[in-house]
Amino acid sequence: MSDAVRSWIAAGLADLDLAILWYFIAINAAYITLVGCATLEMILHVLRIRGESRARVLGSAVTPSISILAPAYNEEATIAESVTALLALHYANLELVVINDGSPDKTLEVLRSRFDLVPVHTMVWKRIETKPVRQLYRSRTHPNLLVVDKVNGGKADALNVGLNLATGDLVCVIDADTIVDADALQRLARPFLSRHEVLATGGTIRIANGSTITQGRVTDPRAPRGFVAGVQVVEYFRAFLFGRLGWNLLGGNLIISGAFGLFRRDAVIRAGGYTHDTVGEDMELVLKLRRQAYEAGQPHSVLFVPDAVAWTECPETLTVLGRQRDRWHRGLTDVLWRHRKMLFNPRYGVVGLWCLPYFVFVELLAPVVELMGWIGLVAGVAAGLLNTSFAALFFLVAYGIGGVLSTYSLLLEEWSFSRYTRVSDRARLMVYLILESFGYRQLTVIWRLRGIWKYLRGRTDWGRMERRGFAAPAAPAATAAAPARP
Amino acid sequence: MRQSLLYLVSYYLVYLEAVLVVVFASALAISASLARWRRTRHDERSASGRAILARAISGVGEPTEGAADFARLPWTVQQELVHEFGESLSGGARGRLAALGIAAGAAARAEAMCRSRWWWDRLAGARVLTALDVDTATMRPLLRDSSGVVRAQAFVWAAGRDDEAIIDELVARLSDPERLCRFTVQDSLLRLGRRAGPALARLLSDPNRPGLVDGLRVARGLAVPELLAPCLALTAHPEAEVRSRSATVLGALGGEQAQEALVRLMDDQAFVVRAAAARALGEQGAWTASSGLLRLLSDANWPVRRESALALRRMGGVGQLTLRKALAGDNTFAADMARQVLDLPETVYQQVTA
Repeated sequence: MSDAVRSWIAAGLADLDLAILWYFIAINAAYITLVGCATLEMILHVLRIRGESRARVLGSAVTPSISILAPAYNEEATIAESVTALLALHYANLELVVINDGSPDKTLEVLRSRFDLVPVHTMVWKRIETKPVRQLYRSRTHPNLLVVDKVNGGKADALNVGLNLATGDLVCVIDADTIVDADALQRLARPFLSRHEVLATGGTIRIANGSTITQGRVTDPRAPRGFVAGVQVVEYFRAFLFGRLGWNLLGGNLIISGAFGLFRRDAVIRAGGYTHDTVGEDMELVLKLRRQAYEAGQPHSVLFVPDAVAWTECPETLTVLGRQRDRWHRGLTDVLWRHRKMLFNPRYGVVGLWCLPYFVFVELLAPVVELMGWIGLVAGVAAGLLNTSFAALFFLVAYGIGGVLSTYSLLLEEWSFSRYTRVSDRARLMVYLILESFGYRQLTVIWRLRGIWKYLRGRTDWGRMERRGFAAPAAPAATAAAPARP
Repeated sequence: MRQSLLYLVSYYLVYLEAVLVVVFASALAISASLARWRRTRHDERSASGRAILARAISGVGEPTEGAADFARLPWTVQQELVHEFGESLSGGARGRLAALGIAAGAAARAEAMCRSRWWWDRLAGARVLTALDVDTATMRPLLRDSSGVVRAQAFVWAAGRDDEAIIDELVARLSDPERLCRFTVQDSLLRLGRRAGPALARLLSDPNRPGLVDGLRVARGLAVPELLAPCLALTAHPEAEVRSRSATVLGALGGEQAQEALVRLMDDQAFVVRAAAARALGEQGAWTASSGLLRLLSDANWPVRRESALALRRMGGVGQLTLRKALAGDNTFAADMARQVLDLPETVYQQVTA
């Protein structure tokens, strides 16, 4: 290698080092701020709910009514049990709208026979344009159950049909196979009773792989035995217990998981419902709601409720997990691009000035920066310019912070809700947490980079997801819908 | 110079991170190990506390017999048990629970907490006193507490008090700035029932007072005769939501005057008012209004058409005949809606109109 090339590489690396260093300082400052806010928010939340009588909410005549929207696609194996469990949720004014999104399997037949469905006149007040509805069904045994059979149009379209038909003040959006804790709806609805400006609330999504499920409820939560599922438990803790909770206090929550969220129906309809041509429809909706509220000059908030818990099945193979992460990152890129006007725009308050820049520079671009770091490392080694001891030290610092945050989120869970009761489960999670940095984290960088690349190439497919199913461990089922972003 | 500084900082950061991971992991390990032991101990204490409370509320012997043993339990266990039992008891059993709570000093401790400067202590104290249903002067200032959650808890407590001053305060708080408080006040007034009627009628008699909409929501649940006159007057209120809520209350009250007012409201400019009037007429089974409802079946607004059709079905024979007439009519809007409502299975129809 000539001296000219070496000096050119040296100059480039020096600039890259400095840029990465500043980036590193900035994102870790953001993380530490979020951790501090999350801790404070958790303390206040626990103080507020200690000794609270939820029976009051449950039994009151003035409780807001809730319509649960459950889109289903090829769910014949689990739909009956899921719907039974949803109908048994502890909430006074509850309506359940199941939307069969043109499933080619026997989802509809199972529902018809299990819930004694009868066809009713198909007339829908179309406030949001959707694919045609084939037939509406009402249950003779469960009058609060409405089943919609429609032409396949994807999850967003199914939810929009549900929005047209729902009658509740609030709509709860879930995946048909989400397992919701019996009292989770009461907890999720609590902020709507407390504050008038709340547009949406989201609950904690936990991973059900490995747990015991009886009659549509998680009765014995366990940490998964497999590494791929186990490491996602740690990730979900980090995402929910300090990410979302921290943003609660800062006023900038942007994501309500598509697997379990509660929205004001009138606000969602005013916003035009879910957007069809994106794979990040859940984040897009929240951002759209917030954007409209800012533009109308209305006070508003989107809150995360840590004690409202729903359980979902996560991918257990790297291939499927890779597809999921790639899709999430494509969704994130797409949503941020659609709402780029809000970025650094003081008109959009904390969302424009803090939250979106965080999502762009930390969530979206982190894999790009990490890739640049790796390229710099390789170039440094090739040019013989690498200070090995400093590089090792820097990597230890970078990965160490991840370890500190993950351990802290496990501790926060232990001190607040402590859902895992066995010492062995916590020990297993600690092992996953340590192993996460060696190989898995680098893989997530590759998947996310792939997501950006695919977005730039215009790919908008959801990718084929495989689920083992809670009830039938031996029979993988392919679905068009995939587990929602945590 | 810069590099050596970076070295130094990185070195200390790694050291700090290692220490933090070890501290957090140790705390996690200790917490997890202690959790099982704590749970067992807690379960034992809770079981003994439950036995004391069960004896006290059963009415066998004096309720205060186990007070000394109950007082020896940790305060957190006492609180949990008082909440657990208080939530599901009423009448004499609740009175015996309160007697035990007072004798064991739990009520006094809770009262002391209600005077704390910290909102979370006041909230915890108010929750214990609410569960015990103790009538104490300490709770009254909390109806105007600076913290919304504490105020809301005081409103829950107030639902058990038959005191005119407290009821007046509750009605005044229908316009509380905090939504949680307004919700709790409505719920408490509904639980108070008829006793809240006069105070609510006074509120509704003044069309300029804040809290009218929430007051009308409560009035609908109470439906006591003294509310008729103010609700009739409110049907001419400039705000559509007030007129629509008044129509709903009139539907629950019934009577000739109410029906006349509702028939007038079928021609209101606002669709929410027309829909509410149609629904209210259906609730009353006012078959004399069926021709007006048939007209509303062709209304430009979907909810008005739907409410009118549901109201007609609710009226029995006359209404159903009217719906069949609409089915055969020229207006496709009216025919579609009539078909939809006539198709509803009986159980579903009951659910929709509940």
